[in-house]
Amino acid sequence: MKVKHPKKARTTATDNLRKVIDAQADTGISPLVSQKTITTQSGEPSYTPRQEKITKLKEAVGLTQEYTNEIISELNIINEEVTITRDYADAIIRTVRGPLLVLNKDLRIISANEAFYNAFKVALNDTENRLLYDLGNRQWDIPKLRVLLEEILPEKNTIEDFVVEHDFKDIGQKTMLLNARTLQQGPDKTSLILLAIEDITERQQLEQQKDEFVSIASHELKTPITSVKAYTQILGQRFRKAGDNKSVELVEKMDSQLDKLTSLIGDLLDITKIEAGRILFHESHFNFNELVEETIEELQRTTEKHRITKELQPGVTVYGDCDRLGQVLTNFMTNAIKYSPHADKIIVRTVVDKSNVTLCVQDFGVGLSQGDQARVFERFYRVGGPDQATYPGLGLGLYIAAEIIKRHKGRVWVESKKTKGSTFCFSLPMTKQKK
Amino acid sequence: MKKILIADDNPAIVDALKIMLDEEGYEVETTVDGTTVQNMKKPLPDLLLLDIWMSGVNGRDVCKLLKSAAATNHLPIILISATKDIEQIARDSGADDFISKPFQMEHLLATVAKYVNKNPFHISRT
Repeated sequence: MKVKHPKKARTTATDNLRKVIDAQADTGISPLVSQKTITTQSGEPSYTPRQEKITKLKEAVGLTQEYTNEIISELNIINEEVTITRDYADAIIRTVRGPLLVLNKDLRIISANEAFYNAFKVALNDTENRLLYDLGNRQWDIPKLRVLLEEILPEKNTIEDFVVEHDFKDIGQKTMLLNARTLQQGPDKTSLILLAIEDITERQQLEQQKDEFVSIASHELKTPITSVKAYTQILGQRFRKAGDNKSVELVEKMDSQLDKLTSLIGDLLDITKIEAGRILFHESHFNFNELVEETIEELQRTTEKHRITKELQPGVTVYGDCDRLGQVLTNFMTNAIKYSPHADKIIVRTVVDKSNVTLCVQDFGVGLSQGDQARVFERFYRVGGPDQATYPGLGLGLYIAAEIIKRHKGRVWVESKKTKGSTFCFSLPMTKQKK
Repeated sequence: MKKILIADDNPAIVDALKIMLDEEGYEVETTVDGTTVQNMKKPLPDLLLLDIWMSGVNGRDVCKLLKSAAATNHLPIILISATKDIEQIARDSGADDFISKPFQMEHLLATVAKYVNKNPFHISRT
């Protein structure tokens, strides 16, 4: 909305009026002083100058009247504009679907919007001019709210995204997201407080339901995999005993496919845990080289084409979650195998400095463009392009890996050149870090 | 012969576990009803393989109960579950060990052997 600035117009009208008054001064008359009769030397009264003056005076009065009208009409415009601005602010408060309160500095409610009355089941009469804490029979006397409004807000002038949970007697347990701002208003700088209260109870419940669903779904999916995998291994053992190596090989392939399926389900579960910040780490000191060697051995079994070689600095111990870091290693190496179908070599290196260990997995495969390198650790990101579509995956593995490393106060990166291959690295502090 | 009790509400998993352990020469008893484990009578098995989510019975509670009763607290219990939090649950409920589903047969047999003091050379591997 464009509001015409009223100040300029007002100045012009006042200036014009002043000009009229000045013009009158030039004629030697004052509009407010009665005119003396001017007589000529012959004693005859002369009407001519008086008539002239009256005419001028009439003109001046006319002009004054004109400018006064102009001022009045401008005042009306200003008044209208003030009304428009107020309606504008009112309309915003009414339109906003989230509950909004305007408080004075003593935390009394000046006004509240419809959304507030609806969400918190209070009436206008019981709200306006009341102390915020007194609302709904003091249901709003919430300790955390007091801290926010009395301690944090006066100091910082804004509150952003503060979560307050409270069990309201009438409407039950609510989770609220609070945003507030103080405004200085008028010549005496009275403070006003704008308080936006978003009820995020439902959103939180939905999030929780989603997490529970994924958790149950992954459990349910794993149950049949468990029995299929168990039967597969029983068959494998029977073929082995019978010396049927060809069948053993087939059954082992089945088994490794089942492991892939399991790890995909694990990724889906991890992603919801990472998002909810509920991923648990079981940290301890462990032999890092042993973990790297075990993972290499495990993944060497999944590829006939590639030979995974290692260049490890001896004797590295790391404080962290061994299983989760193993997951990162597996992810880097599986990607190296997956994205270098025409190469036969993968190199795993570690370098140790004073406090960190750096591990890199180098492949000689398809490589990544600059743009893809920047985004490859993003959630759901998959490298595009016609040949890339043939590589399967959910686009979660590297994101999860990066999150695990981040939680260990480390960092991940990639160096790569299209068609020449990629080197994925992470660097971790070896000792226990302060949370 | 060492006796192992398997408690899991999924019949296919119970079946496969029974075949594996049978072939290893254990005496295997099974149940798909968690409540029977709760009211376990003597003679006790040498090991209990206990699922965590069992249609109305929580393996975590069963484990806590057995580990707190004088008559059963020496019975080795291995929790077995597809939940990712199994390690934490095993620790909280006083279980001796845990196995994540799906499991590797070698890992299952090695863990079982560890708790029934079975001669590891007896485990048939080819």
